[in-house]
Amino acid sequence: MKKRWRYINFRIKVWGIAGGVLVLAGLALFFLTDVELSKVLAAVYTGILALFFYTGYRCIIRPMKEVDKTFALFAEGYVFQDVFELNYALTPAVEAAVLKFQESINARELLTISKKQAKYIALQNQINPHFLYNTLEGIRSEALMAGVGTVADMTETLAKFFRYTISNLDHLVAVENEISNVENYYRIQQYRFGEKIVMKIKFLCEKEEVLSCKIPKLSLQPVVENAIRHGIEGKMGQGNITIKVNRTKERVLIVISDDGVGMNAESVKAMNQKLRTVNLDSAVESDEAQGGIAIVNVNNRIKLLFGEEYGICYYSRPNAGTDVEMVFPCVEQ
Amino acid sequence: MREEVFRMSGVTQENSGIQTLHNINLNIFKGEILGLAALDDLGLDDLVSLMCRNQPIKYGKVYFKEKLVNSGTKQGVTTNKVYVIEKESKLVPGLSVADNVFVLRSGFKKYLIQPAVLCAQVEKHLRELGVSVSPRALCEELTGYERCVIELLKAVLQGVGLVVLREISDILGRADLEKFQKIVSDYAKEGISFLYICSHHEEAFPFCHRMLLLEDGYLVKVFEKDEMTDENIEPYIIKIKRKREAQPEKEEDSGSILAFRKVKGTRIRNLSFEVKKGECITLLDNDNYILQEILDLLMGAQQAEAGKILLGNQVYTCRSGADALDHGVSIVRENPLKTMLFYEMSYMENLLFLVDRKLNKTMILKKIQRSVINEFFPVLGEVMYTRNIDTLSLEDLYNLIYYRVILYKPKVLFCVQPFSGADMYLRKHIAKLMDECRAQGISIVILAVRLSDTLRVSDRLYVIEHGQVQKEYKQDEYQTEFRWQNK
Repeated sequence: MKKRWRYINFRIKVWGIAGGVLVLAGLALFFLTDVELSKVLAAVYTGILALFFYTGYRCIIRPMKEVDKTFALFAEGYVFQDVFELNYALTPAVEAAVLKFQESINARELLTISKKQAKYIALQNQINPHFLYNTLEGIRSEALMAGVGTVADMTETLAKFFRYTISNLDHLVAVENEISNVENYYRIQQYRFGEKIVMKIKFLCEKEEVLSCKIPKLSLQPVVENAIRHGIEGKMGQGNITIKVNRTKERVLIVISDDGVGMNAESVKAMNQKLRTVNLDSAVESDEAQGGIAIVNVNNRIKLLFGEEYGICYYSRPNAGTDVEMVFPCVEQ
Repeated sequence: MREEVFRMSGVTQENSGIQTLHNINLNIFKGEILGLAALDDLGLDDLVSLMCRNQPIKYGKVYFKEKLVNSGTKQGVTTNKVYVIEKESKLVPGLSVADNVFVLRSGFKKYLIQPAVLCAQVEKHLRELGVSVSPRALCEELTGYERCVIELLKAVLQGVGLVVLREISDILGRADLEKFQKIVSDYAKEGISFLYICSHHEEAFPFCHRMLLLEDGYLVKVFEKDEMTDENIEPYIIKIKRKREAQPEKEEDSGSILAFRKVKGTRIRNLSFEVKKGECITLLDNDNYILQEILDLLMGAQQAEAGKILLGNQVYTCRSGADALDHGVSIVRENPLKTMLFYEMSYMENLLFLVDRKLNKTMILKKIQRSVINEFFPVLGEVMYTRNIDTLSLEDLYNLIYYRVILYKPKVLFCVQPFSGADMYLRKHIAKLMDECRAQGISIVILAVRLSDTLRVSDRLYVIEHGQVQKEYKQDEYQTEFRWQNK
């Protein structure tokens, strides 16, 4: 009974039966009772009728409106997961159809596609990680022996970056590790850009409170990479990247800002539209090296792992730079 | 770890088929003063409304004290413990301060009210805030500053978690605003959160912990405290620049068009200032104390107790507003869209409203109407033929108000808080209209309680405190003196 109560068609049936009983009771009242008694009974009957309609509103109309609104939002592209997490279902057949639809989309597969983006270097180049680490270690030793400290440092940083990127893909990692990877990435970029890029990390809360929180691996680096490629590279003079890390009781907030060339309003709107919900199109295209695809996939991963209220949002203006706000839940375990 | 008092996550809202809020993500921490500068009006009303009431939204989620209170699929309406202090008072007129603070609040369950106890309580709280108001005073007797403090106290005693301060600089003079901001800062330290809505970023920069920029229903930027610099905000705003070439040569030797010489009134004490032809000056009333009295003197509603007002070389005496117009003194009041337009009349009828007085004719000939159309059509355009002015844009309505003045061509135009409540684009437009007035040789006196953009259009500034001029600044002097308010 409790399980069937989820279905709105079952509620309508119950409500209909109750309505029938009420009609019969009304008729019985009308024909069988004497005048004196009927006044009292009529009052009681009216009360029951009011309760009957109120129950109909609470148990049928409101849930139907909720389901209807969720489907409408899905159709408009505002929500994705919510359709599969409804509190009510119209009928068992509709629920089965929705489940079948979910299976065919296969969110798990989608997640895997997104993760592929995270290991894009290894996948694209078919590199054997151990071979890569050993080679880099060899270059480092040679460089040290030749007295070229810069090359040795650069190789070590690169090795660290690859080790982090390729290993342990399935796990959430601590914010501390992600930041350390971004610092490595920045160091590598510094060999290329020198003083042109300056990166700062600011903690807007107690550092210890946030460093142990877990976020999806390789969430930050693609955003920093985007800031350099699409923001600072095209800018004359020095460019600054600031990573602001904050934590509340429920969420971890990371904002990656650059003071590069920025984006026009249309591009920002289009990007945020893509980021608003899980974006299937971009996930499929994850192997393509297109600007913004990496970000969409990171956003997909966050939303699929934690829910639709988490993810990425862009703020940008031409010549003012870009802020990328990333919101994660607080996961400490 | 910071506690979030209020949070909106991806909120999208529609109002009458127009999307007013787009994917709004904002959060307010406990004890934070969050600034919100709206570059235009779109979405601001809906944003404030959604903070107070959990009414149906198109999409998104709203959390109050970390609890989900509204979402796109939620049905039914509830309210949040949010108090809004704005231009319109929420205190009940006819009731005392103590009654408003204590009796008229949810959770007050006493059947027998002891006024003496309530008054003692209110007095104690007000003393702590450094405000001397009698708890028995009626609410309509309060000044703007006192009213804001009482409303804030009421909100705090009601136990609200978030107070929205909306455009309070329109109510408070500069000195009062500073005092009020001090009280707000003290409450913020005690853990109460504030959303400080203003149309000018300069107002929020020195006072707020963070600041948001809202434009066209989109949140376009979040500034942290250390990012609140003029350089950082420049790409987001448009600056008002003076159209200097439009001004006629100032006749330095010709003397003043209008001068107040040691004028004394009920609140005015030895007020002296002067304005020359084609010049624009600002009278900044720091206490919001005498602006109405200046208007009363000009409109003949009050006579000066001492001193004199000179218009040209003659002593200015006036019996009524119509008389003031005949003397060449015109006024654009605060919020002129409500007070200076006749919505049942057509655009042309509104535009020609003062011309009959100027020409001293009861009927305006078609020939005159045609010549007005010929002269102003290149500037005002097709809207001149509009019958229902309700349908016009804000810019067109302001054009109508200021071009009516230009058509009448008074000697002096008094503008009361001309930029009050206007968004960035409208402020720029109003400044352009003022330039146009000055180009026609009309002198402008801006009566203001806050500087906002007034300095950008002014040649000189008079700072008034306690009813008299404290200091006069020339343009190059106030640029440095009022730096934060004039960037």
